[in-house]
Amino acid sequence: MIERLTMLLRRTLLAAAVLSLTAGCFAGSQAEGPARLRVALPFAPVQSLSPLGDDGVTLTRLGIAETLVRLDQDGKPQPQLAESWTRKSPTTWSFRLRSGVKFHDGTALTAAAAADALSRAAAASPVPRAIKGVGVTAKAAGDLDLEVSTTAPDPTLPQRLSAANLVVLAPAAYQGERVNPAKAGTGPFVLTDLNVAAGTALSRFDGYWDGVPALAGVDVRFVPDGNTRSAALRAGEVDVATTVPISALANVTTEEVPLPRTVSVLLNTAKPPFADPRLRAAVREAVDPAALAKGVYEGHADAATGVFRGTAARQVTPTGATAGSQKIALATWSDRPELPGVVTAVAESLRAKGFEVEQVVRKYSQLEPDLLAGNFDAVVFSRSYAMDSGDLAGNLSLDFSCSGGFNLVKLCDPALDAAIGQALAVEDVSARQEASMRAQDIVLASDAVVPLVHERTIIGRSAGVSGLSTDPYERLLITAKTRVS
Amino acid sequence: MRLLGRLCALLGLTAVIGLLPLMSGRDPALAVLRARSADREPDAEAIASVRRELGLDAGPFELLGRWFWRAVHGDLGASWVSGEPVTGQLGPAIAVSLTLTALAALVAVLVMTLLVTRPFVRGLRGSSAGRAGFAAVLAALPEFLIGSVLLLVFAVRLGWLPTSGWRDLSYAVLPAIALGTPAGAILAVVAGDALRDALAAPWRRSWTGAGFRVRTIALAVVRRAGSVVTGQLGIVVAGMFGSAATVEVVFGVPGLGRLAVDAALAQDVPVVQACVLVILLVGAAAGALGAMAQRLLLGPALTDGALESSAPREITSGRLSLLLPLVAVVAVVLWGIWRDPFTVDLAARLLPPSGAHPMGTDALGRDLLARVAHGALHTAALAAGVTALVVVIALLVGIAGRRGSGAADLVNALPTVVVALAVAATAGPGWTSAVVAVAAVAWAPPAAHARSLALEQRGSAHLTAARALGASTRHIMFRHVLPAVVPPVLRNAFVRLPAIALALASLGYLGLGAQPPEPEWGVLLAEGMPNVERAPWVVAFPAAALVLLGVGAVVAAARMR
Repeated sequence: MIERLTMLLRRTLLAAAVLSLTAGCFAGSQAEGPARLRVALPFAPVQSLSPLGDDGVTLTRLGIAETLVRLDQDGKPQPQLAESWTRKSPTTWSFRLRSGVKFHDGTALTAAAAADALSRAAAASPVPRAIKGVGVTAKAAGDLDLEVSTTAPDPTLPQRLSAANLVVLAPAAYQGERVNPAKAGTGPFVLTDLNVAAGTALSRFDGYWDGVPALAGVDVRFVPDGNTRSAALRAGEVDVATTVPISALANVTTEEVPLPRTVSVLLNTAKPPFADPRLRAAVREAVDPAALAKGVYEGHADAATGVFRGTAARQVTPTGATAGSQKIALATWSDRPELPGVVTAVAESLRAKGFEVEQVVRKYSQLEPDLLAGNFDAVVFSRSYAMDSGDLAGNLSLDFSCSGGFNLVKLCDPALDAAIGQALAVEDVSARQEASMRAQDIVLASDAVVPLVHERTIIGRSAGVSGLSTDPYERLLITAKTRVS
Repeated sequence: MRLLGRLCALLGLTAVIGLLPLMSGRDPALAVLRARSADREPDAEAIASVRRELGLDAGPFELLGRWFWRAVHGDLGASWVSGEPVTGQLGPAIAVSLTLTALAALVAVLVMTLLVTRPFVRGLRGSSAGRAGFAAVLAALPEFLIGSVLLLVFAVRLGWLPTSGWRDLSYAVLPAIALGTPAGAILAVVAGDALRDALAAPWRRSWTGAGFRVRTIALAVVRRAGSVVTGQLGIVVAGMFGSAATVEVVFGVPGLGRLAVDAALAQDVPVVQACVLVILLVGAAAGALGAMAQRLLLGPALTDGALESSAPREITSGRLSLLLPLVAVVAVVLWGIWRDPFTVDLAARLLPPSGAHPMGTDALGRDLLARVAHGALHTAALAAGVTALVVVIALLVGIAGRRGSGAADLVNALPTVVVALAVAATAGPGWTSAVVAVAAVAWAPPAAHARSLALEQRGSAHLTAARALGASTRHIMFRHVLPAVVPPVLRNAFVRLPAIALALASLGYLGLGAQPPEPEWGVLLAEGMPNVERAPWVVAFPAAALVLLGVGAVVAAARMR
């Protein structure tokens, strides 16, 4: 009798246990816990997410890795992994690291680890652009005190350290020549294994220094075609799709981020016909930036008055110059979907001014050798003017000074070089930007560059997503505060 | 010995295609740097460090030697862009492409069967078999257009299937339909011709007279026709394996075609060479399988000269109604040629068809009717020219002997873009390079077709009889073999004419072929694709024009008998 009762009791208990287990299981999947965010990105990693190339930005945008310094909307450096910094001497800066920061593998962020990460980047081949030619050396001066020096005085070192190539990873990530960010970041999300083909799953990092992330994790997939990304969003397969093309905006909720990026016509001033300033002025007077922004970009771009956003409109008396059937080759690249449309519209305006225009549209990789050789008279170019350090002066120096490394317009004007040099010497961010604007006036007066529009990037998201970062420098996207309901 | 020769040819072709860009003097270090870092200005120091890292200073011949030596030992090297071993990238891509191709082949066979069943049954009953009008329509539709429409309807609107990616078999369905439908339509044209010939063969009359059941006769006819179709099936399947890049991009499928094209654009030589090697191997295998199937289906009859094929027939009736497509194209041209195809009007973008713009306007407000009309002559003439060139090569190679047919199997599957980059590197950009690149790949399917038809003719009893009567080789060639081979091969080649027009236009972004604002039809389609959903007319009218051109070409080819 007792045996039977025990048996019954056992069975009941077992059944209850099974029931509660399964019930718990279902309850678990239905509970309003933190959700995972599904993201579609355009560019698959090209170097297995090594931060030293373009993949660095993917690491920061997904919240896997972080830099010492970040840039705010105005381009001013703000604390991130570094809490504060001071300039000890013209060539030496001292950074105080945040305490209590842990890498994903459990080790603590130390000045030695940060110094190692910077030294690896400085010794990389090729050296990341942000610190190219700067001669960065880093060493630990204490447990959390980092000392970074440069060969020449450099007022923008903190800004430079905000470049995504310079993320600080755990010492275990650096294996010989290769850098493997798996379980080595400090960000809100942990990368365990990269799978480009099937998509990559990131999990939440509970030990994140800036509070426990709101999301349980992030599922990333790489979809090269912009219209397909938009389709995946509309079909509910992803919650966020970046770089949605303007033609695919219907039925999509979006966030538009104005970028420090300008589409301009660059004129080759080294050879006829655009060695002649009158013909350059004719180009400026032929184009209609407002019509391009409204027409080709359907209002999702801003008509440009200068290379930089926020340039005051210039008062210029019209020259009324026209061309006398000069033949010009006008090139652009097809990788950015709107550029071929822009180039056709610009070419039509130039034909109306009397130019004979031959259009060339290729993939950038197929265009670049001819571009660098100066084989085109004019190029419709989309260029970011604040890529690594957000520094306008550095950008002017690179693109328009006599010794500039990317001087496609082939300008060389001593007055301009002097103005750029003045801007480069200023440390205060606002004053530096003002000096850069003054130097820009000389560039614009030359008409070597005819600004058309400032671009925006469009992030598509489902209605329940909030807290996406709208960083104009495109380093951040998913943060600890991003959530989806 | 022959196998060894093949292997050497394979490795040689692979090495040359990969290394041609290097020999042209363009610096791969710049392309590699660009692939790693899109916005970086290419300073001398960065370029030099990439050159050092990749060992480029050794020169192309040293590189070639090194690659060859390692490849013989089974090591395909590491990607120049990522630094990862090539095999790690290649393995998953091959698996994806094999799955996708298998499914697409299934779709192609289904489409083919659906398209030829009715004419075949009618033919068995003795009435005249129909023509390949609908097949030509399907064959003319670009894969990327079918793909985008399927994606919008079945993935976005209905939500039945995923839009993009690759996790399980459901991800392969839409891309397989997009790839398999035009391929099946092309096969249907070939199969229709083969069935008609088999139905007209004299033995069928004797079998019917002898009281064989219809089922038995039907099976025998299918078996005879199958011998021609299997060869083409092998070729078409191999083609889908290597050249599916456009569909793979639309559906975000990480396949081999995309890998090859991306690597070729980034001048990632080790990856290009590995992809080319795999594609060539698959092409050779598919060709061999096709040939084996043909031998199996024909049996000993092939070598014993015991095949009976129909004697070449008179021109089949080409009803006037079938000339309508060409008339329609001419009418559109005459209507639109007076209009302006170039004037941009940003205030009149994407207007639907109306009185002022009978075909609507494109994304820059240009009149679509004018653009279609102005592009017609150039598109049609160029595509027809290339197709004619392809037919000549195909006949020469296919009939002249067996040697060249192996080459057909090899080059057939290569992506046109990869070949075009190699051609452009040696011959420079321009129209000639585009034509050479497209023709270099496009001659293969008709050549294989010509080979299998000629093989059958040579094994025919009536040729044995002719030879016994003392007919010269020349006589046999011109009176017996060519008349039997040329018409089907013409139709095979001309049903692919729209695809050739698209291939020519798709090379524009490499600097070969048409450049904007030229209103080439392929360019119109490519420009219109992003707007296919909100302004379907920007794609519908150029696509319709291309379909008319394709149907017209097939009809014209049929009348050339």
